[in-house]
Order: sequence, then C-alpha cells, then structure tokens
Amino acid sequence: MMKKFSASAVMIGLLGSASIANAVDDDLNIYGFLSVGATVLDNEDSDKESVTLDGFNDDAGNFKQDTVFGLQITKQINDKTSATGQLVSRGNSNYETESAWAFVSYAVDSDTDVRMGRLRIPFFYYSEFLEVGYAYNWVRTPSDVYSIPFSSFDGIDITHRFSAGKFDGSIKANYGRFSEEIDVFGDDYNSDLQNVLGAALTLNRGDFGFRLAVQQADLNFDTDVNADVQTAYEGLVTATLAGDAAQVQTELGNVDLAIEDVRGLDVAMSAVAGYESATGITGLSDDFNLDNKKATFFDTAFTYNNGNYGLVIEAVSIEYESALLLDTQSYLISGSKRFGDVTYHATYSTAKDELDSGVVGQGQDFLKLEGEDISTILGARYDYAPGTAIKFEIEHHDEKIHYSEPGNSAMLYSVAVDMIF
Amino acid sequence: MKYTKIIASTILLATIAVSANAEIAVIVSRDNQNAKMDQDSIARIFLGKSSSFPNDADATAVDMKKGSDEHNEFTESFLDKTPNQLATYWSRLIFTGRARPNKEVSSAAEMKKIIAKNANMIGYIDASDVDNSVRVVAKQ
Repeated sequence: MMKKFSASAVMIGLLGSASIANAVDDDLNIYGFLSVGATVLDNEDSDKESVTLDGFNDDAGNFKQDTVFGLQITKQINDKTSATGQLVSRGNSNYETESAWAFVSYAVDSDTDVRMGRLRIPFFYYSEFLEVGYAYNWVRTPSDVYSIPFSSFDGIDITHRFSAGKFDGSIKANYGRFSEEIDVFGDDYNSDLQNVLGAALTLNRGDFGFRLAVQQADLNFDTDVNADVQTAYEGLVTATLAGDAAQVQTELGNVDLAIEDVRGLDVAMSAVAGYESATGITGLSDDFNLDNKKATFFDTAFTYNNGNYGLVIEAVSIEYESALLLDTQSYLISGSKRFGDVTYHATYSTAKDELDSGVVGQGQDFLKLEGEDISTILGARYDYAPGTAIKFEIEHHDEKIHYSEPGNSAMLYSVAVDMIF
Repeated sequence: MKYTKIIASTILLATIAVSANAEIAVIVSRDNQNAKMDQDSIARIFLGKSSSFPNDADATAVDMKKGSDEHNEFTESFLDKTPNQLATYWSRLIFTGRARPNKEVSSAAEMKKIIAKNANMIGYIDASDVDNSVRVVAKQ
C-alpha cells in the first residue's frame, strides 16, 4: 500500500517535471479564445421587413449570435514539422463544433513554410483571425465587406517571408477545394468549390502596412427548380407581357404562396425557368445556374498604426460568372485612437451590387437581386485585464436597396467580452 | 487633513511609478558572438519576425513572465508596445498557426541560468540583476 502510494507520488513528480519541460521546450501548446456578446437590434421602420445584419433579424435581445469559443492545439513534431488543430464553436451555427484549422506545417527553410490540411482562405486582411475577437477592435468584422459565407478550404498553402531594407513582407499562394454546406442568405446549400486558387502579398514598413489578395474558385451549388414556383412565375410573366394588370396581381399572389419555404436561390432558378417557358427565350438558365461557374475576388488593404492612432482602409471587388450572384464592390474606412487602455474607433463601410448589361441584367432586375448597404460603426474597446477586452458598439445599418427595393434601416447596439488564454 | 493624505499618496504613487521605470538589460550567453545589438534587431527577434542574430546565428527569444515588471518595461522600451498591444499582436500570430509565443521564465535567476547555457538564446533582466554569467548586448 505504502509502496503504491510512493510510486504514484513519483509518477506525479515525473508528470510534473514533464509538463515544466514542455513549457520550456514549447513541445505541446494549448491556446484558446472566447467571445460572448449581447445585442439589441432596433429597426427604424417597424412596418417594413427587418434588416438582416450579421444574422440579427428581430428586435428581441440576442445573446447567442456573437458567442464564439475556440481551442487550438499545436504540437511541434520535430525541428521542421508541426501540427495545429483549431476547433471553433459558434453561437450563430448552434454551437456545432467545426475545424477552422487542421494542418501539418513543414518549414522548408527559416523563411518558407508549406502547410497542408484545413486552412483559411486568405480573402481579407482579417480573414485568418476572423473569429478571434480579441485580435481587433470591432465586436465583429464589418459585414458589408466581410460578406463571404465561408472562410475555410482543404488544400495546401505555401508562405515565403522576406525583408528588403526597411520592408518586411510575405507572399502566400494557396490551392484546394471546399465542399460543404454553405449558408447563403439564410438557406443552406450543398456546395462544391473547386480549384480554390489564390495569392496574397503583404508589405510592412514601420507603422505602415499594405496587402493585396486575389482568389478564384469554380462554384457549384445544388439549386433545384421547383415546379410550383416555375408555374407561378410563368403565369406572372405571361400576365405582365399581356398587360393584364388584374391578372398580374393574382399571379403575384400565386408567386407569394408558391415561394413560401422554398430556398432563395431555388426561387430564383425556378423564376428563370418560368420566364423561359413564358417567353420562349432559352439559354437563360445557363447564365444563371451555379454549375461550375467561376468567381473572382480582389482585395486591397492599407493599414497604419503608430500605437496611438490607427487606420484601416480595405476595398474588395467580387465578380461572378453566374448571373444569379451579382458582382459586388465594397470598401471600409476605419480610424482608431487609443487613450491608455481604451481605444475608440469609427468605421464607414458600404457594399454595392452591379447589374449585368443586356437581357441577363433585365433578368437580374426581374428577380430583384440588387442590393446596396451603408453602415457606420462607432465603438470603444477597453483592455481591462491582460488578455481580456470589453467592447461597446453602435452600428447604423442602412439597406438603401434591398432585393431591388428601398429597404429598412436599423441601429444595432452591442456589448461583447473577448478573451484569449 | 484629507487633502494632505491625498497629496502624500500621490507623491508616493509618483515615486513608485519612477522606481518601476528601471533599466532593462538585454542579455546573451558569453559564448554568443554578437557584441552589441540595436533595438530593431532585438525587437524583430522578440516579435517573431526574425529567428537569427545579426551574425546569422540562430536566435530564440526568452521572455520574462507576462505581468512582471521586467516584461512590462521591456515591452514598452524595446518593442514600443503596451503589454495589451503585444498580447493582441501575438493573438494574431498564434491563432493563425504562424508562430508560437516565446519561451517564458519567471525570475532573473532562471533567465540568467537558461541564457548562460544556450548561445542561441536572447533574454532580458533588470539591469541591477546583471552578473558575469551573461553578457549585455543592449541597455535602456
């Protein structure tokens, strides 16, 4: 009995010293981040449909949408090889746990890393630490610009760091694929994004930073044509072309009934099919479908931070080969000023869709796909303890054009606590 | 009476603030070939931007425990950041798998011991803790 006891004491002693050795050797590391938030959305026109802003779409208080919990484990396997896994659980996806990162990294030399596995697509300036609220001043990144509904891919990336005189820089190239369910405007679609190919260049000099990124992918989404919706739209188009105002009203009612519980992109594809059968025009479906259609993304960012004053300007342009998704231009300008442990910040952002020309553009107009949003964010971040920040934010969001009609506008009030450990 | 008390404690606080502003010495092993280093090359190693000394030898940074006077002083004077800004900086590197934080020790004695034994390491201590087991490459 006594012997057993001392044996386990020795074991504990060994384990104890092993973990101290780990702390010094940096062998196995566990890091985490946690964000919790509370928000209230206040629509300005209560008769109109509520704005949808970062998944907030009603006037009741929301305590879930901003909650994010992440756990990362990094294991150094040898001098050149390490493994990293990051599990993230988000309130806005019902706390389903997902691997944001899961990769093996190999150091070709001290300035070049090759990584393989689940990685982040380096779309935006903040893409790689999108969920780590502690890493930026906002409660969440501005949705007008940070609007892409997925952020990971499975594949390979290679990063090379360099310095030339006073410049530090890095260039990264990535290639891979992403096949998973994607949420587009609140509905889920099975998707397959093939040939996700891109590059990102960053340059830093002192307090100044510059970033340029390009990505492209071949999009495949499983949209379905719904026969009832197609028939309703066929009736609507026929009545419109015949100039029968009374019949148009009836058909609009039929459309409203038919589209209930049908996913947004399916409604659009069914409407295109209905338009084709009513007019006899063919080939439009090929312009609108999401079967192997290319999407191209460009991002330019300029940053300045001298420790007290900060500035971020980021501009994004997305072009879709498919007419179903409208080309979009967006940008944000954000300034910040730090007073001790408190940083105040102000941001203006906007996103505007562009209709194609010709028959396809008329089709986009008929489907009411166009949108234009303008947002202003005012906020404060208080670093009240090491690794912990409290944030307050007021956002005014104006849907100037929402599905091709004047939309609502709203105030979003947010409080959040962000931690790293 | 109350005012005198407030003034007295203000003076006391000011004295503490001044005395906390101690000089920091950046140290390497006596076997390390770098005689002197400038602030920029020190900062690059401690911020994970570089992993080599000016003479191209491998460099590994060792930090004092977060929250310690030495850590705060070093961060302000050599890295030109507040400890909070440094934590934000590292969170961006760690959670993107780009770098792991520096090794940490919790006392000047521990720091001197690990630096003295490893020619590829660089650390820092309060200048008053320097002895001849290590060599100073910068002081401010």
